[in-house]
Amino acid sequence: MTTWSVDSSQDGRYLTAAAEFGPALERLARAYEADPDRRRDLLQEVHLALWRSFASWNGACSMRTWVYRVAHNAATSHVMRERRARSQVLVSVEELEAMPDPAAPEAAAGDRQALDRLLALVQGLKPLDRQVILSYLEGLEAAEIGEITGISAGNVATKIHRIKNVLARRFHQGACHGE
Amino acid sequence: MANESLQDDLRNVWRQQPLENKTMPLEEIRTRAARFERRINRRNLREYIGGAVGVAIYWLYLKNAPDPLTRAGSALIVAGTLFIVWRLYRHGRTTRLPQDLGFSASLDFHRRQLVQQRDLLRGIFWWYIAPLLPGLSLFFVVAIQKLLVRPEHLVLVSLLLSGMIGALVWIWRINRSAAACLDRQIAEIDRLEREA
Repeated sequence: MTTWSVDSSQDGRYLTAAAEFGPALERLARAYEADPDRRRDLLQEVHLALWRSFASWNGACSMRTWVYRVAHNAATSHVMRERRARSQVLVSVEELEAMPDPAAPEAAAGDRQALDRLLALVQGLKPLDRQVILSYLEGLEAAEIGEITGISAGNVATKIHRIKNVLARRFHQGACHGE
Repeated sequence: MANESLQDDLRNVWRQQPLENKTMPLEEIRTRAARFERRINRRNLREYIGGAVGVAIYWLYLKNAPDPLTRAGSALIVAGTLFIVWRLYRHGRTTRLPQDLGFSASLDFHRRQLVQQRDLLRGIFWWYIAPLLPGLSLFFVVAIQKLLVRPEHLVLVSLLLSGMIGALVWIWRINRSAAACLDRQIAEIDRLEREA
């Protein structure tokens, strides 16, 4: 019989984090897993990892950095396990930038289509690049992305620049609003 | 400007996507944590039982085998199986996510995972196949001795032998190639770490 050493602060921290970052964690799970059932499993796995992690949280970094680190690390583990099972080939931002653009998107594409294409793009990236683009989309600053990923601020800036290039090429103005 | 506006639009599309917004009550988290732990323990138990059954079968051979070569082969298989079970016991708990996920930046964590997988691939031949080879080889020698009495079975024995060697070489090459692929990914992370 397994017992977990639980204190109220662990529960309290988890509940605070889940309330504040719940939607971001759901978006993160969506970026890491396309299959809806597996995505639900992944999201639960991330929440479980987060709850467990708060047993050893020491406040050395902000709660946001901690939550994203735990979530990305748990999700990366998931991607690596699933990739072995599905033999999926992932690309880097640099490779994506060098690739020819897919067929031009229709100008009348709405938010739903823009989101689907964005998801497909993100889900095909290697874990580290996926973390950078996700953090960028979530509105995190370069310094915080560096703290979460361990990549230097210079490399984060370069990657974000490339991500912006890829996004600009693949999504033209108006494509997000069905104009 | 237009590009900045597009970036803002995409960020908005991303952040305003419809969500299920399902929360996990604490009680469910604890239940899942305990269930996950039980699942790992059951998996380990299954592997130990499998090992124990293997040891018991070859122990019976060892006790009842008519010739010394078969007895020696059985003893070597028992020793090899015990080694594999011990190895599983030592490394069986590595599939659980560590509790200190938040202390590692993604780069470090990802590298650790890649190194772990690479080492597993590099070593699988030595800790999962090689320990059984001496015992299996002795069984094979016994089989050859018995079959040589009837030379018409020589072709069959040769085919079996080359098939076994071919399969082992294939496993070794596949694992080596996968480990080399992981090595390249680790080198890429090392480059990023040097620049960090």
